[in-house]
Amino acid sequence: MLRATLKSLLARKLRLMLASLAVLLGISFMSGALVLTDSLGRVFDNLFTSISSGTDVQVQGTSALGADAQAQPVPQAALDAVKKVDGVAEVVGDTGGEGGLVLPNGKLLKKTGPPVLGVSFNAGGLQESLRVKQGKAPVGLDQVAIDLTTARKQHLKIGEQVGITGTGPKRPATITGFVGFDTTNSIAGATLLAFDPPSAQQLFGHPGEYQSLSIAAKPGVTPQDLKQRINAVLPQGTKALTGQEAIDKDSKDLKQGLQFFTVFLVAFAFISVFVGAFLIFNTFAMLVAQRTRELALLRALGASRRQITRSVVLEALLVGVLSSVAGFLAGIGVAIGLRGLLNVIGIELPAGDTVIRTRTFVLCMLVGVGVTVLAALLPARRAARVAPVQAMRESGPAEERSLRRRTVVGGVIGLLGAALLATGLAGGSVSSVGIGAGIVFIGVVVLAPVFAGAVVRVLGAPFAALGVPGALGQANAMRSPRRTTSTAAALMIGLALVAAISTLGASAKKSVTAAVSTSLGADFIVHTEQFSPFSPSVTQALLTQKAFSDVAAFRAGEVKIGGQLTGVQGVNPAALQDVLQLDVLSGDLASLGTNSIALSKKQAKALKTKVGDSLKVTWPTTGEQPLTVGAVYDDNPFAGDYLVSDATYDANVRDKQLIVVALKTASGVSLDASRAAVETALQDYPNLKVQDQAEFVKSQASQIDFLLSIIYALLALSILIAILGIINTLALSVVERTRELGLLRAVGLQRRQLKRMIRVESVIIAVFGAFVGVVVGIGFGYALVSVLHDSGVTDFAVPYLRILVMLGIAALGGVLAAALPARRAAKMDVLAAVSST
Amino acid sequence: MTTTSPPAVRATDLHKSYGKGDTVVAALRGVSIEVPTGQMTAVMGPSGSGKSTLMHCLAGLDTFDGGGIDIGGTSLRGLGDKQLTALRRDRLGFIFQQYNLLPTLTAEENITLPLAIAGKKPDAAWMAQVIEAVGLSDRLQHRPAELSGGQQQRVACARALISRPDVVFADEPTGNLDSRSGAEVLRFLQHSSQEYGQTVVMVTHDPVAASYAERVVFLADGLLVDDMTEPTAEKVLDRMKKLDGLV
Ligand SMILES: Nc1ncnc2c1ncn2[C@@H]1O[C@H](COP(=O)(O)OP(=O)(O)OP(=O)(O)O)[C@@H](O)[C@H]1O
Ligand SMILES: [Mg+2]
Repeated sequence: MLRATLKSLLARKLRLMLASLAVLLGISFMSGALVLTDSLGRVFDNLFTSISSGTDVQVQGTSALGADAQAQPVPQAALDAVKKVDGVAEVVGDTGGEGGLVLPNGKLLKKTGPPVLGVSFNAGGLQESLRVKQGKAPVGLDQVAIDLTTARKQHLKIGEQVGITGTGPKRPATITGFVGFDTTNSIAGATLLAFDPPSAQQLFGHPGEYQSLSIAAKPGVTPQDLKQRINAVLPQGTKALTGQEAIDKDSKDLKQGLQFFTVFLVAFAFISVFVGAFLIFNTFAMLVAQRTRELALLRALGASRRQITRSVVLEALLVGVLSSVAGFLAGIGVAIGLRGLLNVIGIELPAGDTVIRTRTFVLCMLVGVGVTVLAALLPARRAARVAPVQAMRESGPAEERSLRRRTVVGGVIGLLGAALLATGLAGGSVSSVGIGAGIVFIGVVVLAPVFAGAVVRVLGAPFAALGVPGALGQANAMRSPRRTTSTAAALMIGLALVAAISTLGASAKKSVTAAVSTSLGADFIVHTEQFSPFSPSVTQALLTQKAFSDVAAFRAGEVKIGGQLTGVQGVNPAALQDVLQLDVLSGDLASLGTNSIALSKKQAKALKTKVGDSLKVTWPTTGEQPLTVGAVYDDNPFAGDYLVSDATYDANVRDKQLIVVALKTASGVSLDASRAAVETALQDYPNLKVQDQAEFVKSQASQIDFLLSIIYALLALSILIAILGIINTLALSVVERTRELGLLRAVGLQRRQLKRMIRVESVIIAVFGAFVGVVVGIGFGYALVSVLHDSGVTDFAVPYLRILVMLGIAALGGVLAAALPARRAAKMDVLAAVSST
Repeated sequence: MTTTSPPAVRATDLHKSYGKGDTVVAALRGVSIEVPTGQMTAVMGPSGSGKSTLMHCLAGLDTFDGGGIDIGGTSLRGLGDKQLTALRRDRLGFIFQQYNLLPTLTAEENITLPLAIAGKKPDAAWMAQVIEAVGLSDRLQHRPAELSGGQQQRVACARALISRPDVVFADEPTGNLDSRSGAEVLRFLQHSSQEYGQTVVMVTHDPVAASYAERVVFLADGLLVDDMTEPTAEKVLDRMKKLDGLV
């Protein structure tokens, strides 16, 4: 039987090719994702190891809020204490932050993606992995060294004057040299501005503070020993780790991020493979249908059912193995290509090996072969049911079986899913909503053949009205609802996801717009590109302008309230009223003094507190402090959950830096004048952005769009596979209907009419899939929006235009999918077709 | 049927061979034939004598190597696929041995298919007449799968006639039918020739089928070897026996 299987495989290699291609594409996506993330993991491991190669012990800040909270800075006192410890050869304090570079032409270096980072640089000290590659190390506030990649890209020269910003105003500086690491000149495309440590402290608003201390041991002292000695003298709020522990910790954090990235990519690979499963199922189902007589003959000659099933499954197994291996190998190429692409678009990564783990291969084979064989099982069973007498019968087109059972099964599955979805919605559980939506979708796919006829009749009506080819195409599309649906199902999945995501995106945008118009009162807001901290001197600069009635500075920090890690904002309550449309429900904001706090209605309810109650608030350095509830306000996304006065904030937090300044124009001053005033005030702060409400909404919307476009790009592969599926079905149909096509040609259908007929069938299948997918997807989008209501997606919007575009793309996909099968049909010899048996 | 009207079909010195080199098979070796308008002509001959080949060439379904073909005054020589297709659509009718109908269309839609393809409306009176003649008035909304083989073949006959073609070509139209259904189909073809002046060219193996025709031509080995008018089943059978003996 194996030889017969191999022979039949070879005989139908062309027809199986598209099915194999589907598996290959899905698996190469998966293998590419795994190889890429594994390789990146290795690259970063190497990088961390080389960055801290000379560090035997590292001192880091801790937080009274626990390990999950942001680490606090390390004070100068810690450095002084460590210096005196016996066995310490050298201590270096590291600090830095988001910076800005004003190029010699006076323009700020603008970057999308990788940030501009300011770092402290210890020349000739501890064996640093960041080293001067050209020129000299910087000394003092007016000297800077820049990474070699940026230097080359911007044609910077040593000795040139540039402007630099930390958190404060712009300062002039001279380029003293170019720096880089051993294996790369910059980390992941970030621009590096290196300063000597005291200058870095000053520029980034941490005088007398460090992010961490790196310590080298004297010969003969083990890192473990030194760590204990140092821990003994460290002030509270800091702790020592060995160099290796520090590397492991950093690398663990990064690996977690990378793991999320892997899971994200692999999820999309799974979607592609799943979509490919429909294609495989269709291919085998159609091949079995076409081979009914051949199989019946085998049965008549004495082959058992088991042997027939086995031969079909074996065929699937071979297809699965071949295409999975090819997909795995192609994936390695994809990973290498993607890395090259990242480099080209400026996300420069250190060189490193391509990591191919055994688990990548095993996973690819398991998924690829498993899915192929599973998808072929049903057709294989159908093949085994072919009765020997069918060899003798005229093989007309197979009779469609009744759809009653399908209606019942699909209905039950759909209802079960809907019930789960409803409970998820009621309980606000995202996972039940997700699983429920998935089950509803399966129900819809099972039910689809039942309503396919009616939908296709409506969708195809415009084509049918255009003439015989259109009418015939429509009739062909309705001919086998099962086949039409299983072909269209692949597209349904892709478009349901796309529609759900776009609906969520459109709703999120609408929610942002609504939130801004109902919650924000400010005319302008000032912040950096990444919402990183900036100097309070900005407020002073703005206040000199006299164009504003309110200048409200916001500081943001972390606290623990009711056992929950949460954000708190420090504000001047008097300036707040007009910049936020804040609805104070009880108490008085103006009365917020040194020992009180205001909270949102939502939190007040959750914590069961009211105005006048005492609330225990834990701060990162000052620990637990009882604060009196001074006011409760209606939920406002800009106010957040908790507000304290500047005085309270100052009493507990050393950091004076701001996150946002919100401005209200004074009465009698035009908005244009007020904007000009902001720009004048911020002349020395080129890294700060001024946005009015519309600009803020737009920038938020464009971030949402950016996320959406990444997801679209990842879903594109599954849509491509779905289109391959349509090609496959049409190609097999053309073979199946050879004589019919011959007859049509004999009675006078022109070649181009024949092509049009196939094109119409294709477009109808594609639009049917897209249409059902989009309808289901909008439904899912609605469910997602409801469940995310508390996370700020308050409004529901359907992106009609985008959805129309999607349907248009699907129709276009249908046209493209028809091209090859139509050409093949048109080229067919009329006589051979009419007389073929 | 006056002898002065031009013939519906004329082939002169028709040559056609298949394959090339050593394996070349000369299927037609100089066949000349005229079918007058309104005549029902049967083509007979032993298996492999070139009957189907001749019919395919005459019907513009296949190309030929030498000689010429005229259909109602139009020469097929040098026509491209597009023109041949249009010619088949507008001026010829077809009945095949099997698989004559589109499974997705109803009987009525199958009948009007050539007109629909040409974007023409059927002539209601003619349509009614044809449907009446094939006896399918009560089966029009059925799909082929719901019709018997004989009924399907009668639908095919109605389709072949609906556009009032210059010629109807039928290749073994009764080959798959029992004698009663076969007789119905043949009577219909005979009727359409006698009553409506429809020219019919029918390839058949069956002397009884041939006897329905006005005239029978005999092919052997790619040549026209005999031409018989007023055939009867016995005469045809006799002739065939001689031919088989000859070969
Ligand atoms: N496509 C083809 N390729 C090669 N040779 C062919 C082809 N079609 C027909 N022939 C040959 O041409 C000759 C005539 O064939 P044709 O089909 O016209 O015979 P026929 O009279 O219709 O026979 P039958 O009664 O068996 O149908 C035969 O020798 C046949 O083998
Ligand atoms: Mg023949």
